Amino acid sequence: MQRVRVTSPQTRLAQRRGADAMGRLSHLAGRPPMPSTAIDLEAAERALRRQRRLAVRTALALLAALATLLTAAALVPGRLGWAVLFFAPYPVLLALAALHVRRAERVEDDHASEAHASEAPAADAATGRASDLRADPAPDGP
Amino acid sequence: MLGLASIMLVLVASVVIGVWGVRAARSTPDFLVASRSIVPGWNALAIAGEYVSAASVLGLAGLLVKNGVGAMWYAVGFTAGYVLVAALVAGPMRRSGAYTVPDFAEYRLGSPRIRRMCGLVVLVIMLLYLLPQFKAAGVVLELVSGIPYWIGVIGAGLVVSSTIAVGGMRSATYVQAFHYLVKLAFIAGPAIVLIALAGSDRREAALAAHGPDPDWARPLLDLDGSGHSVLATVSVLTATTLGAMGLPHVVMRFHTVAGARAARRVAVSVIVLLSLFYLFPIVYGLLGRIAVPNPAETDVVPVLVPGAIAPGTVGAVLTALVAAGAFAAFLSTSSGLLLALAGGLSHDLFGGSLSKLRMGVVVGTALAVVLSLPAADVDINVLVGWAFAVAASTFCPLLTLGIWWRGLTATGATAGLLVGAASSTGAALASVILDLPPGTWSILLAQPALWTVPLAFATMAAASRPGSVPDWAGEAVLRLHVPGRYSTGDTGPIRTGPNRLDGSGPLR
Repeated sequence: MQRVRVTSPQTRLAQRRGADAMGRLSHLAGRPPMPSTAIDLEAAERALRRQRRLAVRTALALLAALATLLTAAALVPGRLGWAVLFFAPYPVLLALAALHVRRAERVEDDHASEAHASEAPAADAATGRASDLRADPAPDGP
Repeated sequence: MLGLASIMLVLVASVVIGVWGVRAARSTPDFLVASRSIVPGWNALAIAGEYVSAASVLGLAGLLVKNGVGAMWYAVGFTAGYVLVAALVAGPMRRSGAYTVPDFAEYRLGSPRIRRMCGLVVLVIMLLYLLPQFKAAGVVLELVSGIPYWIGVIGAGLVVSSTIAVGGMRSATYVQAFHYLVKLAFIAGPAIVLIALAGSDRREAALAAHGPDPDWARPLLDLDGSGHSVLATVSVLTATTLGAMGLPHVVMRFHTVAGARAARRVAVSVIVLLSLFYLFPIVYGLLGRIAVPNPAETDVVPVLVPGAIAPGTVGAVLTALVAAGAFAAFLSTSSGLLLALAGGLSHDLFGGSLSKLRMGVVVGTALAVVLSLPAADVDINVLVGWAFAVAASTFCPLLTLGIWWRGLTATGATAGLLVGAASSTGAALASVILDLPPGTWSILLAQPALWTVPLAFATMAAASRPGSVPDWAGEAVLRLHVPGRYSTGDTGPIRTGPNRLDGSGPLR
């Protein structure tokens, strides 16, 4: 006699969700998952690498800035040393952050225009499933 | 009594704004992230309003009087954290579409277990952060009205939890934006008046950098005269800068703007707002050094300074304003923390509905109130420093590696979180229990971030075996960085509304 495990639909759903991490992002935002074939993976990869380089640069610049401020505050005597600690850090921090955001947005713009250019001849641009964008040769496309 | 009246006024105004901002919080997205429809300007004000806590309004000036000018390094670290938030976290986190850090961990690592673990870490950080807020409310109420500390703490808990349980994040956003303005006005205004009233003699004395106490005047942070001020300063800077990046209630805020670009820009605006605010604790600290050199309770220095400098009605009015500003700091920070705490309790640990979330607020408040009763004697900044150290040793590596490195696995993240949480909380506990003589070891225990953060990073990286990286990890990371229709984070508000300010999405 064969035994069958009986589960409620909710349990089955939960179990499937556990295995389906790919769809989770879209699930969280209430959207269906996007097929990976719909984008130019190489371009996306380039964008990620540029963003990562930028992020590392900003983090290193912050480290250097804080180290300089600390040294200056420790070495400059009297009130001038106080002024270094009280007032100097904030403009520096603001400049670092603003510069980063500008550059990060430029990377995004570059990527968007690149994607736009390669997308233009697609017949069905409105749905985003341009058939000639299958840079990813995965067989499990839509 | 004037002080109590002004606090009541802030309270009533907060409740009115809260009720106006409610507009019926119906679903979990409504409650937690205000359905993604908060305008960036408001959001930056709210983040700053939530972030400028009792530690900044009261603790910094008190620490400046007690330990020296170097206390302002805390403020530098609190602000510097937002450079990293803008550079490393804000945009990608927003694109992930997750509500909370545990949500993000589950998305990125595909493991419900890690979500629960993150939920626990959220609880620890939020409780460590909440205690000093309730302590601040208690001591300020005691000072201005004579209400016993414990009654003040319980009353504050009731007020905060009831406003949050009714309104959720949307109401919290407007209330917190209002609180930033209250804090700035009620701390900055009296500060400027006090500078004028102090007279040239006292102003001269306050600015005397070559005083009788050279250690105090040295612009480096020393912990209890350990003699290693550079080490202590670096460790505090590490904790505050990296901790700000991993604070769950701050990260949660970035889900309430329309897109990744807006999220980054919000982080930059926050730096502006913080820079503006942090000019004023200096005034209270330096004047406090002259006017109230040996306060019984260092954390109430800003409330004591006006009375000491300007006796009579003017002093009383200024004291009332500062007390109201301090209370606004308590209200806004604790409501933000409670929301994150409730999120951790219900959404992540018990997979929850809205009623559980409200329950979470009540339970969280009760925990914080009970724990803050014996914490009356601990300095605000010590407790806040620990909250930052734990955040820096847990969520900072998790978010940094999770966002930028596809090699991070669930096993690696779990190991890193465990090591980071255990070492940072363990060190803080050990520094209380062992009570070492001031020196290198006492600094490394009391301010452990300098070694616990690299340790957590290294554990996460080392325990993530390349062979066990799932094949969807690359895509999960790519989605965080690529704008457009590929990523769900740029899709704007959940309910289509007019607040779509982010141009990076596909709907051009």
